Formats: sequence, C-alpha cells, structure tokens
Amino acid sequence: MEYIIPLTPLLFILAVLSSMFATKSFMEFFGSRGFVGIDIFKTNKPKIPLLGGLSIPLTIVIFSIIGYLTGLIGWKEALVVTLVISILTLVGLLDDFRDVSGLYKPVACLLGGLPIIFLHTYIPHLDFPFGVGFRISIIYIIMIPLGISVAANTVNMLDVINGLVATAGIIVLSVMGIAMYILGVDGNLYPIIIGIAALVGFLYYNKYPAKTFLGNAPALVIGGYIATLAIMYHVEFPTVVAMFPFIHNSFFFLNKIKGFVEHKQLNIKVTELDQMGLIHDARDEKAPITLLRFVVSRDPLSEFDAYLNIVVLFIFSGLLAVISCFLMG
Amino acid sequence: MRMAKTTLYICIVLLVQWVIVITLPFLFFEYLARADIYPYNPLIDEVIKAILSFTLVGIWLYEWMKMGEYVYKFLSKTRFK
Repeated sequence: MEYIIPLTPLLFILAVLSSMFATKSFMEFFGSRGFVGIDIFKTNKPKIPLLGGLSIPLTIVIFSIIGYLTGLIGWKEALVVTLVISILTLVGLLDDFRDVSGLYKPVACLLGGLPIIFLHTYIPHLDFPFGVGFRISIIYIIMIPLGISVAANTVNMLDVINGLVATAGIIVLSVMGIAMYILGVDGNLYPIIIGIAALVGFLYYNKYPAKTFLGNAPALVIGGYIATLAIMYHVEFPTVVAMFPFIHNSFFFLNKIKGFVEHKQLNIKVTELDQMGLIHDARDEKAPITLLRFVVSRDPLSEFDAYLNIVVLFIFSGLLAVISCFLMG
Repeated sequence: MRMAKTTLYICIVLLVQWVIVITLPFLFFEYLARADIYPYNPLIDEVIKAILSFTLVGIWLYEWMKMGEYVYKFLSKTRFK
C-alpha cells in the first residue's frame, strides 16, 4: 500500500483544480440564466451568480468515489458521504429554487442522518476532556439526525459575507484532522483532505470581492459533511468546540427571533452599509445579535475586515479545540 | 487588518463557554452516567438521563446568550431607537 502516501497529495491538487473548474462552470451557467443575487455589502450593489458552491458537493462525491476505487477509504465511508451530501444538496436546492417555510430546512435536514444510522458508521460513545466518556447506545442514534441538521443549518446561517463559510469550513476541517491525529483515531485523513480541497477551489472565486455566491444547498452540505465526519471518526467534542462561532451566531439568531424564519422573510435590518463601504450595526433592538452585528457593534468595519475578524474567532476556537484534544488524550 | 475590540471580547465569551463545557461533563455528567436513576429498565434510565443532559445543555446555551447580550450591550453603549 506504499502508493497511498503520494496519491493523497496528488488527489488533493486534482480536487482543488476540479472544484475551481466546477465553480467557474456553475458560475457561468447560473449567471447566464439570470440566477443572481445582490452583494449587499458593496456600495455599487453588484449582481453575483448564485450557487457557484455546488462545486463543493460535486467535488466531494466524485473524489469520495475515487478514494474508494483507489483503496483510500472503505465502501461504507464513500457511500455514507455520497448519500448524506446528496440528501442535503436536494434539501438545499429546493430551498434555493422555491420559497419554503423557515421550518423546512431544520426538519428536512434530519434525513441526512439516516445513512449514518442505517450503515452503522458511528460509535455510540461520547468522549469529553479529563477522561469522561459515556456509552449512550440508544440516545446517540437520536442525536445523529439532530447533529446533522443543527450543523448544516448553523453553517448556512453564517453565510453573510464573502468567503466566510468556505474559510471557516477549511479551519474546522483542519482542526478535525489535527484532532484525529492527536486522539489517534482509527481512520485516514482522506475525507478531510478532499473536503478542504473542495472548499479551497470554491474559495478562489468566493473570496472578497466574490465572483459567485455559495447558495443554500452547498452551505447545508458543508455543515452536514463536517458533522458526518465528526460522527464517523468519533471527534464530536473537538468539532463542537471548533464550531463555537457558528453556534454563537445561530443561537443568538434563534434566541431573538424565537423560531425558524428565513433571512429573506425577516423584515428587520441587522446591519447596514454606509457610503464609505463600512458595515454598521443597524441598532434595531428587535434584530438578532448575529456574529457580524456583534463584531461591528462598536466600530464599523469594511466587509474584508469583518471577514478577517470573524476568521480570527474561528482560529481561536480551533486552538481551544486542539487544547481539548490534549485534555482528552 | 483592522482588529475590532469586539472580537477580543467575543474571544473571551468563547473562552468562558469552553471552560464551562470542559468542566460541565466532569462535574455533572460523570455523576449522572454512573447513577442508576431507573435500574429496572435501561431504556427509561437512558431517556431520563438524556432529558436531564439536554436540559443542562439548554441552560448552558441560555447562559451563553445572556452573557453575549450583556457584553454586546456593554460594548455598543447604545441607546436603542
């Protein structure tokens, strides 16, 4: 099996290039058909093609199959990843093309947990720092669809500024890889590596100033993929810690809105843009204190500076997750 | 890069939540896992423990929200419209 070591970096490079090519193709396809969204944090309000992020599920599925064919991952891992991503993509696409209720996504995303349960790619045991661990064979099965749905939707809710979700996804997946190494998890890093590669390829076109937007379907896929790998490779706790900024953002939203409401149906201004291109807190007491609003609450920031500040939060959470692994080991 | 002061404060909020989440299982869940709440039926026993655990997680998230709101109001120093 000596060929595995040089094959993984080669497939990483191929996955990045494939993701870039697919992103450009989706961008041109949806752009030419008028499927565009307004980039609200630019003073000239440009129209940007939507759903360029469909390259992410496509790249992950194709390279999971390649990983299975080359012996880098088992058939169960490849099948689970393919099924979970396919379900979440379909759930997200329906939301992208049709107006659905706010409750639709959290409920429909529960289906994403079923392949993990039926193919039994989980260990019904939760580990915490200081050697604390619980075997919860029945409850864990209920927690799998919940975990997939919460992760998918919490990632989707932070898709507000250029490049943020893709960068955060890269950081969280990298931390999961480090966690697997520190905890000596029985499994290889290939699914993590192709996830990062898919995001890097997309980020090339989504970085500030974005040439394409992510879309609901790919955002759900990123969260669902992170949760799937966390469950399959038994790194749940470090993953939750690495996702702290996502959790912070979504629970602040839910706490204020008191329910599942689509962003586009929310008639409250959370932040606003001035003529200099700086993002301000809209200072509406009815608006949720989202992460972006929190970051700009004292000093207005440009979109790029806001992005960097939130990335700092993800790096900080990632460090906490790595420290958690040492406390668990 | 312009580092916002709020980012530093959010880091502190996240750090406090991390400290809580690494000590919470140690203090409570371990005791809960070892306790026989309903020894006659393992399913009922696990369900009761799960309800108690989820309640605790809910309290933790609520505390996180309240702490965040307090820090936000402290930082923004704003009189809302």
